[in-house]
Amino acid sequence: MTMKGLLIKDYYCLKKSLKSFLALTIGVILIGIMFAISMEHGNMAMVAAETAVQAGVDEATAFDMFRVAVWLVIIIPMAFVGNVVDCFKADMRAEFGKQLFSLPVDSKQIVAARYLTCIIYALVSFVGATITAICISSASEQYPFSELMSVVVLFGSVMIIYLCIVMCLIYLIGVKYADYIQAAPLLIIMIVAVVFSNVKMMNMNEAEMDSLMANMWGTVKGFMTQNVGIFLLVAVVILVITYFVSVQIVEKRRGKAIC
Amino acid sequence: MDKVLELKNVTKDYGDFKLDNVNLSVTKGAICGFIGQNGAGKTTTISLILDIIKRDAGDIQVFGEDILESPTAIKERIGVVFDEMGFHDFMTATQISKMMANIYKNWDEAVFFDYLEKFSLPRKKRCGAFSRGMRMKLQIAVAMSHGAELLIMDEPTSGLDPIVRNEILQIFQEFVMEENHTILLSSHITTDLERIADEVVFINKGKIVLAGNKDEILETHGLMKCKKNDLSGIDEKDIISTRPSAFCTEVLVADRQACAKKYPKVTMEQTTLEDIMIFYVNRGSQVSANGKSSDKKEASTLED
Repeated sequence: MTMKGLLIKDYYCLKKSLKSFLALTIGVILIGIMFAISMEHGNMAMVAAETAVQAGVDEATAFDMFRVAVWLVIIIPMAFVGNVVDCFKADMRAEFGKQLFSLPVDSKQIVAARYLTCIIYALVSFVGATITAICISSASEQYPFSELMSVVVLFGSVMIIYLCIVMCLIYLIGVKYADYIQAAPLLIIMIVAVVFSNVKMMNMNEAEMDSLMANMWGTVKGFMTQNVGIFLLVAVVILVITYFVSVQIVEKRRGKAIC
Repeated sequence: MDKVLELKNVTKDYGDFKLDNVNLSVTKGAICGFIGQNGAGKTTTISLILDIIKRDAGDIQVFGEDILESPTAIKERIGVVFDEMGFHDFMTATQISKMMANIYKNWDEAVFFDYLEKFSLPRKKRCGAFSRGMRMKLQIAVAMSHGAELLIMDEPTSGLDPIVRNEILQIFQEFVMEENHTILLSSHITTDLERIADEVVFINKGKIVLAGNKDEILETHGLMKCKKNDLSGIDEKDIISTRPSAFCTEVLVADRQACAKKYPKVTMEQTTLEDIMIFYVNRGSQVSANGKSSDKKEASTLED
């Protein structure tokens, strides 16, 4: 029962962003449908064909590469899960930490409420992304619903993993560093990806490079559609592990964990 | 007498500040004033009582139980008011009520709205737009709407105008009219405590320097006005500390009646809690300035 009060409080914190989420999801659906139709019958189809000629790849591969744009559109609603960090910032601004620990709630309930907010918000984002996927796949046969849902679940899992690690670090280091904590994992991934790809490409000859570019899309698409289950499982495991770690941190740091 | 709150040898060390072997108790049904200057350790003590921060040593019993053993059950019976509101600016009183109704088992929305009406607080206005007095009243309304038996308040009247302070103090007095209601109220506004407190506890630099019944403390302490020549004739053991003024030296003594008989030629006056606080704080400075440790002086405790 006490957790419900904290969930209500988090809902009030996120109420404004929920309205933005709704507006953005409607916009995303419209853009996605327009893009999908354009890829099939309109200007985007012509651009894809020209690109195929210029890049020296077959038309099907060129079309596939442009589909990524629809994938990027469809995952936008899922990115809203990241707004849960706003609850931490709102608590800090209100100096809610002292009030919170004077309430009849323990560390487990405090952390569980925040994780539940994260899960609820993820589900809401998931519903938004699913509706977007339904609309796009209904508008164009080129985008099967199963493919779009794989992308949604994959990206949602990545967001959950990211958010769980961020929340745990916020409890540990403090809310005032939340912006740095949010940026750090993205920065690290970018640096690793750039360094890895440069190292790999430096050791390739021209033929290997051409083959990589030609097959890249197939590799990426295959990876994403075949490993969705693994990412989801990893997300669940990370969620559970970070929950217990966060409870220990909050138990130790008490009011400082919310500041 | 039943003790609602007992701290025994409680210690918290921050390195640059230490709450050192604090012993404090609050009698059931009383208003206990917790006095000290800024930075004396009042908020730290309250935070330890509420388990907002962890103690390094000692024992804290609330309603006869260690707060660590059943913190949620004990906190159900405690209402808390901090010097800062602690609620989100975008929340309204109605939303705070909804939140609290799902946290406290005994939350009474009708009582809460009654207090809102009594305090002339709007239900649907964001509390970020409230004045300081309104924010304090909102906290008090929340603290008194879930059947709390103990109110713990950290400088609730600080920064308020005299009219609002008077209003709030009356509410506190009404609260303790019920037999099982108790208040621990920290403040550096000694006039408020002189008005409503039954017991007082003085804290200075993390140590309790004086504790007991307020009327007894005021009755037994006295302020002697000495000329410089008279001062040398006063036994050091009778002096708590001194304060030079333009025309004389003021001396605080712990036993007014005895000192009045012992030094009949010296003017003796009643004192106030503010003076007592200032003189006890100065005692530490004066002893330190003489090169002796201020820790050697034991806290004076008057029995009820």
